[in-house]
Amino acid sequence: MLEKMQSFKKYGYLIAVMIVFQCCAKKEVISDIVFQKQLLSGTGKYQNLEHNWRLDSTYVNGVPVVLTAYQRTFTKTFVNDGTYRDSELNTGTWELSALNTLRQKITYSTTSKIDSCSFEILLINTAQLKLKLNNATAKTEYLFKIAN
Amino acid sequence: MPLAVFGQDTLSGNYATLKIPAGVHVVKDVVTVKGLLTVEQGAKIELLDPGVIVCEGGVAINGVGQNIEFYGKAKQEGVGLIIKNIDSSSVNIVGASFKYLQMPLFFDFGWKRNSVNISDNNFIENTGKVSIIQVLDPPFSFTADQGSIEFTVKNNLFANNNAPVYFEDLKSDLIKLSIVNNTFAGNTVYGFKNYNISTNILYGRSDNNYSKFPALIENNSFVSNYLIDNNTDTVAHAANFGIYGSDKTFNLTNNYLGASSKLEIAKTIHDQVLNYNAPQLLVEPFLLAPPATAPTHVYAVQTLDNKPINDSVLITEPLKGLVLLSNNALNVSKSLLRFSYFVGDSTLQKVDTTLTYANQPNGKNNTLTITKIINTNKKVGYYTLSGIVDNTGRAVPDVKVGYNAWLNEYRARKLLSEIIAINTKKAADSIKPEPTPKADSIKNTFQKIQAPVKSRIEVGLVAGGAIFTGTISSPGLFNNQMNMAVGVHASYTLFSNISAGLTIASFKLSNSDRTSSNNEQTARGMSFSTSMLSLSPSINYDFVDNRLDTKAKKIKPSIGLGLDINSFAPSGTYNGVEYKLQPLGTGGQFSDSTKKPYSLLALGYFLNLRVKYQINKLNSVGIHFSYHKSMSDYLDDVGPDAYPSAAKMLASGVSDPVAALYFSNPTSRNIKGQFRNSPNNAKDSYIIFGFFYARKLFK
Repeated sequence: MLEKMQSFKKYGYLIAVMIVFQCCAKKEVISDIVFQKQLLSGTGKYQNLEHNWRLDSTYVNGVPVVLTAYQRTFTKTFVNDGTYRDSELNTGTWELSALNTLRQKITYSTTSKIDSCSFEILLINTAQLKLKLNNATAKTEYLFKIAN
Repeated sequence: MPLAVFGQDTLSGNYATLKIPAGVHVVKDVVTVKGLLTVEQGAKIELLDPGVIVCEGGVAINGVGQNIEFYGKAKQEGVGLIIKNIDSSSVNIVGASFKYLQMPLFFDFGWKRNSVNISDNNFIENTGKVSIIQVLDPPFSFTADQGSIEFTVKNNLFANNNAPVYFEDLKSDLIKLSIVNNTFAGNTVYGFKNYNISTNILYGRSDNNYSKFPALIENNSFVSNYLIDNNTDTVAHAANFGIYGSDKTFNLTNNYLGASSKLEIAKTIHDQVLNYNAPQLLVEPFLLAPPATAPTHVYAVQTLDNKPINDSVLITEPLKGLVLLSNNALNVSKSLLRFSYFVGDSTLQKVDTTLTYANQPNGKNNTLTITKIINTNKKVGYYTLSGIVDNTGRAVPDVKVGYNAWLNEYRARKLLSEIIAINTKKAADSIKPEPTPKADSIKNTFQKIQAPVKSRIEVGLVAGGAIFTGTISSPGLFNNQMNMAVGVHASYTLFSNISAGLTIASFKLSNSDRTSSNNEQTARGMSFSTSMLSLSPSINYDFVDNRLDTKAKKIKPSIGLGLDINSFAPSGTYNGVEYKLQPLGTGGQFSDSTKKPYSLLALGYFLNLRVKYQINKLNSVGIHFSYHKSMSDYLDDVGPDAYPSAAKMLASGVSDPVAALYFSNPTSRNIKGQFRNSPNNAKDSYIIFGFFYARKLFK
């Protein structure tokens, strides 16, 4: 009986060692909102401090708007530290107050006027970003493509 | 006219009488002296095997200060003196020394003389294992009054001999035996492990019939006399005195028996306690220290702080000094103190180092402070103080400290060396060319095993960790993720140092560029996780003959090479959902018609290191480490592919193109002209390490 117990003791030590190894394994768990932030603005690490999104198409109340060549060069840059700039030299800040909710504060370069707006993120992945402007009377949707 | 011989000569043949004067004389065969044998002072008689002097008449050996010498030569030890026949003369053996002989004095059956006096002699280092002095009975008559023989053994030194002193009858009608003021020190009686009557330095019979004269045995000193096992050359028992016969008791009072308590003394004698047919030895009162009248000797050794050092002490650290307790003052001015120890862990190579010391005599105590300390690396050793004399110039037995424990170490090493010698011989035999030219070269180099097949099989459990060191990994090994690995291992002993193995292991590999210390990898931002199932045959070289099961060779390292057959399936997490990566074609496998998906079965090879600790013949535990190189670069899903076009990925038709797009370029970095993996380092690798437990299924 004692020998059996000692034998079980040995297996116990083996299992304990296995558990220790299992616990030692690093696991990377991030929340949905942090993941969305990383898709939007990068991870904040080397060569991934910001993401540039170039305007690809626009819809007003579901109807596509024909963009001029200049409009198709418009880019929004979301920096991982929460600052914002675009190709028209406007600057500002941004935040994801909730999942799929992008709030921006923009200072217009020409007038120095400060404006706030809120977008709903309809689609975001590593190549595409689709925003819907919520505070406008018309439903306006903007589709951006990554332009790093 | 007595025949006298002069100068150095060889004695041989029969002599009516013989007078041996001062000088060297050699005896190479049997010399018989019918009448009186006279040996004068200064005579040195070398007895070479089978040299023996047979005395059929009187013996007159009258030396002073042991200036008559009888000695043998190493490996040619002569016998000694044999006293035989009935003669009305006397035997006087006084002031002589007997060294390196087989049996210095033998009183053969039927001998008879008027008296025998053996006094002031030294019996030192005699090599024979039968007796130093053997006294058989004189002729016996029931009718005639035969008179009695005064037999005196007095003031003799018996030291470092290999055999006992034996009297057929210690109590007799014919012999009035007196054994007084003798020293028996440092003798090793050879026998077997079972301690019995005859394995004591002094033993004999005591019957209650025909026993007019009981032996007087008084004022003797018995110190450090041991039974040595013939088979192992190690100390088996303390061995001072043995008695047998029909008497009820036997008187052994007023002797120093090497201890100061009856309990300790009882461990050194063989009497009724161990054999109920034997007489009881009466040892009380006993002497608490050796008498000054006995030849000088050291009877106890202490450390410098006066702590006793017993005979069984194990010496692994050098001592600072020794305190010698003796029965008379010592002269150590010409003595040599040596420390002997083994070199290395398993060899028989011994080093004798001479030490310097300062002596402080204090009456019968001498304090030796060692002034040269040596570093012995904790090897077992012993001290020998030799060349001691007393104030009269008489030899004093050598003092050995730690010798008994050293003998045990010697025995262990000798066994090991014998095993190695046997194995070496077998190995040498095995590499002799075979009579037929069909010999296998491996069989010639490694000793072929005759053991049954089933006894060569060993199985075990393996547990530990696995670390991926391929594309998605950090240069710092322990910056990478470690996962558990478990498996079963079986090995089969092919030759004495070669075994084949098979391991089935299940483990996980995972890693992330985000924890990498390399900036380029951090920017790439990829991560993966895969479950692995591997089947790994191997061939191993064992540095220690895998059949040995000795204490000295319990640790057995080995090195090996093997092949891996790996099943894997890398996966990753996108937006909280885990995806298998291979079906997504993250390297553009489904968006580029020239590519095809990689296989989830990969071959590889590995280098394996194991260190096994043999718990016993069947069970062992150990640690292992192996480095595995895969022939596939897709264990982490990241192969040498250019980053695929986002548009093509989204149009590729895979089950989730957005997830595929993410995994193809998680950080959306500028990908023009870049490969997902460096094509120069195209093969993935990983290491596995941990513990194992193994067991042979059959003996």
